Amino acid sequence: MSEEKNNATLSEEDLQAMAARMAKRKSKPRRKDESGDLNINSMMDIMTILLVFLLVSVSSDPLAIKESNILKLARSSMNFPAVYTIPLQVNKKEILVDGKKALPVQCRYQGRPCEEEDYERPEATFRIDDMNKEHGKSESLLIVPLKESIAKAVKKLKDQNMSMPEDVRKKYEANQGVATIICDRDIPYRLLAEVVYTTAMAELHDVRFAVVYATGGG
Amino acid sequence: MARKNRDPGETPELNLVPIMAIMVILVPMLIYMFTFHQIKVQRVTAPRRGTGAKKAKEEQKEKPLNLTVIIRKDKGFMLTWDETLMTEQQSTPLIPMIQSKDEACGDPGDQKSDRTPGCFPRAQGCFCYDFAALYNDLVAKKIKFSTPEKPEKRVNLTADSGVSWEVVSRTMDAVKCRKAQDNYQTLDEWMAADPKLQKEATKVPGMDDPQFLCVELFPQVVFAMTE
Repeated sequence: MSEEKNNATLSEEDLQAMAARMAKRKSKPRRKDESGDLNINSMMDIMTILLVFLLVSVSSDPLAIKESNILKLARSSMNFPAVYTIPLQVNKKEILVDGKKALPVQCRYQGRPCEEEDYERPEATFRIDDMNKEHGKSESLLIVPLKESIAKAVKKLKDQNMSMPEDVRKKYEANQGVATIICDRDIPYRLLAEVVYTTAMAELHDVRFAVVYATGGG
Repeated sequence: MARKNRDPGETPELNLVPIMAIMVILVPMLIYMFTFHQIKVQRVTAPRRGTGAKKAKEEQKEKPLNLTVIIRKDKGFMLTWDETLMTEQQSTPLIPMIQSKDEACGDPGDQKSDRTPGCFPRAQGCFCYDFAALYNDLVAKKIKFSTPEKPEKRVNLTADSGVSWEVVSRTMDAVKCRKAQDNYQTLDEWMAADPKLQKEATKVPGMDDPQFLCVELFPQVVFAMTE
């Protein structure tokens, strides 16, 4: 009984003491230079692991393709790996060889040049201007500026390979006659055939098309 | 100048905040550059100019079937071959596009919605190129004309001017790799089936590690084109 009474008295005293302490704390302003100590060590660990993983993934990707509204790759169940070769990008606006613009692609929708929102319309058509073809003929398969750009890129790659160590050079020499075409999925066969034909005329006979690996109907 | 004496057992704490600030910038930038899907390639052999009549004759001897797949825009596929080998016919009748579920064509109101490759909306519904029927035909031809001594490897591929790369690419899937079965009844079954992989890994030029590639059906695809 006496113990219970004692407990009740103590808790009352405690409450009063707590109230006094809180009032004192409220009246005392926090110093400006005093910052809340946050332990960021574990956060640093996560960030470091993430950084290493991303750096390895990004640097080991030979093509590093970023999809956009003018470049969407076809889906395929083919599992042949991509290697470091001369990349040719055929998107809905232009053709790029090794990252540099070679020539524009003509897009037309309902008889007029495409505006930004027209590129994704299924009725939009894509072709190469006749003036960029051999002798300016529309039926020609050879795209002259593209052939010149590929020839330049091939020469540049050969020069780069010469300055590399022998083991690395051997690895790259195996893929010297190879071109990787990064092509938008809506590009028509005619334009595709022209690009493949021109690539072959520039002495790159092994043509590879980049695709997104997808199985199960993807 | 009163200076606090540091306790000898106390280790100095490194200020990680500036490093953290760099990380916070670097990580989102790398995530943006990172491709979340696997990029693979489809190999095509470009036709060579001026191979000479002798070489052409030799090639003809090695690959006598001269099988050609023709993709007709909004119609379907056709197969042709050397008439001297199959005198009863010189081509298959058109493998027409088949009607599929509406979901295969995506949302008609949203141009950005995902649709199954090779499926296109029409007034009557959603129609797809019949890759399963093409695959069945090609496997039958391979079995009939290929022997271990003289394997039939080459297929010419051509299409109408307006056929999109997406359709050509899926056609190449049907031409190049064998799947688990030699015959598929429906397009959905064919689409869902994965390519059959080789039992042994193959060395690929330019790659350090050998790769498990698919079992070949007609590995050499040549783009045929007319000027």
